[in-house]
Amino acid sequence: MNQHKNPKNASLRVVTANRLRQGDVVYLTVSGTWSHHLNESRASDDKSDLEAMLAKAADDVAARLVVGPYAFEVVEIDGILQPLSAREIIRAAGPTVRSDHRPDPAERAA
Amino acid sequence: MYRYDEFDRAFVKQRVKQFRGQVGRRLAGELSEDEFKPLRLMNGVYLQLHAYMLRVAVPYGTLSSRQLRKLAHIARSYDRGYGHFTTRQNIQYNWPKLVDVPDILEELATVEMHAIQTSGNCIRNVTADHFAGAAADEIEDPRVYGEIIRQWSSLHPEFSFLPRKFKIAVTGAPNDRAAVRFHDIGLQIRRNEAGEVGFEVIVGGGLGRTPYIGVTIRKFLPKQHLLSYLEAILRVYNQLGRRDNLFKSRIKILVQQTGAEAFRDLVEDEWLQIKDGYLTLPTAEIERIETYFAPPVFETLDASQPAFEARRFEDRDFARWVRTNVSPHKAPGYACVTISLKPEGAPPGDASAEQMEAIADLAERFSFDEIRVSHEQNLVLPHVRLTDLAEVWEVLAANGLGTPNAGLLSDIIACPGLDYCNLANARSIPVAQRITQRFSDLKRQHEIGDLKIKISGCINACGHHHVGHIGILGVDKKGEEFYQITLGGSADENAALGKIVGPAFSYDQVVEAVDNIVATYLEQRREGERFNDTLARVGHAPFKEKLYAAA
Repeated sequence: MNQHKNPKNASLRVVTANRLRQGDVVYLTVSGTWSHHLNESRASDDKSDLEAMLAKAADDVAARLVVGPYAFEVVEIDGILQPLSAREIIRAAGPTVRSDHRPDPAERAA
Repeated sequence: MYRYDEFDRAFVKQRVKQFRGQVGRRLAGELSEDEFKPLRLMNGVYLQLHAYMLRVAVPYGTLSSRQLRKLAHIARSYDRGYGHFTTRQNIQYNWPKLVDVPDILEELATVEMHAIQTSGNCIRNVTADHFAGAAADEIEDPRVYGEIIRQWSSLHPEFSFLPRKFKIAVTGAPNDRAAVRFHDIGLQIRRNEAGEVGFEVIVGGGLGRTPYIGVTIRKFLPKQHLLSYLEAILRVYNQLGRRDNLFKSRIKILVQQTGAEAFRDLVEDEWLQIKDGYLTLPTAEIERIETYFAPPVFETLDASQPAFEARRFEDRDFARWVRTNVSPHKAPGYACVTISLKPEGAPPGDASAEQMEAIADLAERFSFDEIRVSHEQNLVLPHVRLTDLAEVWEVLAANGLGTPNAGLLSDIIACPGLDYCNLANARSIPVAQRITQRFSDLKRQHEIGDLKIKISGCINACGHHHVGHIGILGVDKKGEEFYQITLGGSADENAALGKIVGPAFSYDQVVEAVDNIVATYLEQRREGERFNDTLARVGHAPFKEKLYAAA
């Protein structure tokens, strides 16, 4: 995996979780909903913003929408959010091993 | 094979109902995730990197056609059309929805299957030689004792909250295909000087962060004492095993810290208290379980079959497959067939629903309705007539299952790694895929001969890297994947742990490194030497030289 280091916004973070009923990976959006697409997520380098995002995630855990929320670092390159770690790159894009079984958000949105 | 009695059936049904209730309460908010997690784990449900994962038990690796068809049906109806066979002879589904799991478990129960003892700090699903009941070198069928241990250990009240998980493997043959020296308890069926059959008891083996080869604490245990002796071992472990430190909680640490002899004394003392009590196995009960595993009625055949020999002589591809994927059977005229789940470029151990169905059909027609899962992540048709081998091979090949590579370089064990697993530091499967692509010339693989490559994506060693002739361990270096290579491991009767060869390689370099190791082996090897023989003779030096020459 190529690693992108950009010290300027190295602390840019997004919040992710898995949906409780289905288990699929979701990201917290600007409007406070959850999306399958990392690039629809709300990214912030502001501490109080991030606290508010995690508080919203905690509310949604209590509301049994999602499970296991946490924040992780991304970088923005040409307007596109990219995770820093190999783990989050794979989590966002699906397994790198079976192109025939990549996540299909449309199918899983049901 | 074993069939459920009324007790088993009621117990599994009750468990499904119970879990359905627990999922319902979780979704209704009556259970928090912290409360629910241990309950879902007791039913094989993990939350992995992308999704939930369901691990289904295949006790001692034995399946009927009907069961395999059900596994295919579940892959198609509730997952993404495939399942993944694991080193513990189980199957994992990578994409089930939590809301579907109770239905999946209910479907499994209809074919006498479940997900019990596939997770948690209990005695896990017992594993056995995948050629059990068929192998030419076998003393007795180890599954009989696998089943007896299952009946004793399932929901054993005293051992449901052990310091850590507990894995038992049983083999009935001197050629160890069940890695008994790398389990919490390994049982090797032996015959003593008087001709009686019993067990060599091996304790405290394991891989993971601190790998150890198990030690023999009893050379011969008469059969009737099996359960009392196991109970004594578990009791000592349950009392003295560490609960304060996750990394030191397995029995292997206790055995090492106590010392093997002192540990044996503790077990023997405990055993004397309970020996000849209610756990003594009555001969009639052993015989009752034996009837479930009675060998099928084999035809009386000649050991040599001209039609088979002729085909082997005429058809080089068939001959090559026979050489690697067909093993000797105890009945003349029969053979054990290893179905490779390692075609070039594919994830090791994956099988599609269609492949599972094709194998189920073959088992029904040609193997007395039996399939086995091997700990090397392949499937096995245990009882095939020599004269049927050509047809079996043709059907397998037509379904992408005919790769002639069992035991060869591309027959790689790999854990799910960072592509699926929440604990992994690096990917395993794509490393395996790239190695098989690099060595895509099967003729060359046959020239290289037996070579075991095993890949783990983290120190927990699910991919058994410590016991690979070439072991590959994925590590995380500041968010990047690196791979440490060990040489000289072995999981069979010549149990050995590999030693680290030198500094780790990047994701891009690791395949080249494997190629260099293989090249060095081929340069150095003498007639008839296997990889570990050559390594033992020449040492690490020539390998290091080749690997790090440029550095």
